[in-house]
Amino acid sequence: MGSMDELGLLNRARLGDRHAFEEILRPLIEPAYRLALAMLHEREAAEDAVQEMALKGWHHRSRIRPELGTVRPWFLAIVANECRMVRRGRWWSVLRVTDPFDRALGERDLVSGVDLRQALDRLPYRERLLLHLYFVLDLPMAEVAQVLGISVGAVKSRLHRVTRRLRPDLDTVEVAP
Amino acid sequence: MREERLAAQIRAAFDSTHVPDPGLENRVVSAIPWSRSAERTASMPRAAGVVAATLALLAVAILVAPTLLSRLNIQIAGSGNGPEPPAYSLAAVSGRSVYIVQRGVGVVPGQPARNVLMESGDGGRTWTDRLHFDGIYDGMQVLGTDGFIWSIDMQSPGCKGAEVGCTPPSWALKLYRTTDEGTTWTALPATDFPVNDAFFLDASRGWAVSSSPQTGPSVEVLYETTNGGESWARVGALPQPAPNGQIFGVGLYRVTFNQQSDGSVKGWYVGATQLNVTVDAGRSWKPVAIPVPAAVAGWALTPMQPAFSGQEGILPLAYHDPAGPDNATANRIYLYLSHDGGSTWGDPRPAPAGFSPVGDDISISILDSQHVWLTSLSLSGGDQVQASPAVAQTSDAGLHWTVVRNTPRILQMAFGDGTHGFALDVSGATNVNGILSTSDGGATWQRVDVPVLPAG
Repeated sequence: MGSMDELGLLNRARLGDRHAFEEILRPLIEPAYRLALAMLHEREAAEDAVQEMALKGWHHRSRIRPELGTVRPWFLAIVANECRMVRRGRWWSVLRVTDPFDRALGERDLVSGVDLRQALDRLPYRERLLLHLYFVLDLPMAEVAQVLGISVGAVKSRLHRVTRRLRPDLDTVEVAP
Repeated sequence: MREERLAAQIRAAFDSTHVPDPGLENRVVSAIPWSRSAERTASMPRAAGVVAATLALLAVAILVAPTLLSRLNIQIAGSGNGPEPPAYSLAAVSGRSVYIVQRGVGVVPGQPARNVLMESGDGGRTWTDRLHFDGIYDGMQVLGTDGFIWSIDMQSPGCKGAEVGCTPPSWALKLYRTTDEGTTWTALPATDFPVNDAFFLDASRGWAVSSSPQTGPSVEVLYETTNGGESWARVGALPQPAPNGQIFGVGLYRVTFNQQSDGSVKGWYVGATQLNVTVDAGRSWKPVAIPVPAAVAGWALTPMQPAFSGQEGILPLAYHDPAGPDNATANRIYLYLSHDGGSTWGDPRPAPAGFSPVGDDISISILDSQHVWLTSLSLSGGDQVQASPAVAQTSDAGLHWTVVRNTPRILQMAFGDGTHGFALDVSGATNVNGILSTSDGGATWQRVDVPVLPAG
């Protein structure tokens, strides 16, 4: 549950206060972009996904639930769905062949780091999303669960399954909150 | 294992492709059409008054309810500021009995995750606390009056967010056995090797799949027990690592064995891209020949385990077009049939569109060679997660399907017969776990009340 200030902000945003909405939106733009870029590997597509998040968030502002104390899971879920929609298109498989970021890798990259990155790329979309939300955006498990639409328990068990399957020789998640 | 180190490694891997986008924040904000009305007008003073009143009532309820509940010593899953609501696993359904595992309530980092096995023999009206055990719950099998339940040791002694002093988890199999239909349970010695998966053919014979830092991720090793888990012996290496995307369901395993009509035993191992079979208890394996339907020629295959009723077998396989989108609408599941104990497979029958895996977002429940249930969380929504939960059911091995739409968001199902079954679902904005029951083959589902038991 958020503080009374946050509750008030969320409530004002829900009622159409532009400044309140902007205040809750701005801190989410960078993590949303980070998430979209990690999922899509393409800067313009990632920016489009973030823009969609902002547009849909404002258009559907009546869905803001102040009692939850945050809109972060909802907004990131919009981004995640936008990324999935982009990936649905057949053109995307063509784009991925010329992933510009492969060329950006320097020779100083450790082999293990490259291996891990490639292993991440091979993961199913939802598993990559799970790892990014938890490890990169550092979301609490409850919020990861909301974005993914699964239970906290499922987040825990999937984390330990995915990290183990990713590289059994690496560390894995201790499944505890 | 040290989560801090793993987090740093994964973060670094993701960050290696990150490119900052200067000015993005202002561009995004400036592109919002502020004058556009919301989908529902909610800015009327009257609505604001209702919202304010609701918030006030909510605040009062939040302040008062926990105190009352605390004094009455009542805990409701998902309420108050106490521990998070428990997560459940649907462990097994046997006849009219259902077993569920209340997973790791109030886990403290560095302390074992305590689970509670609960049984109901009256359709979920009353529950009996059967067993408390630690580790990560992994599986349960009921074999007549005998049964096994097991977890994987994920405890990292000394790890409380610190880099120094951690002991990696053993990944050991922690096994419990019952010989009286689950009334009492006996702990067996933990394995001295890491375990990914286990399966028991009967009260004596069982197998465990293992991989470790020593074997590496691409090698899995099979172990067997012939004394009900008292001791284990190494059989040999398995032919392929596990698939990247797995299909989850109650009673689904990576390695399974079934008794043939001539008394021999056949084993099945789900590899990365193919199903493998053994006739010498896992010492040698060969790929199972699968005829590919023309509609999915060239597609990637994700194998699953077969199920048998005598010599009649059913084998679900998932296909994914590697050049196409990865969503439930695009992917396909086929049910293959065997009439000779799995020696040959054919007559592939497609499941309804939309009931196919995306990552691991599908559950399959196989009662016998005729009765199969599938779930979909996004039947008509493509990639829209949870857009349209549904259940598909067949009682003739996939020849005809019944699709029930707008079901609860079901994650797992298990059936005791063709009409009576149970499901694990998530509900609400915070995805609280719950248990459901059906007595009409999954056409309708009723909520089952489950007590929150202390896990100490």
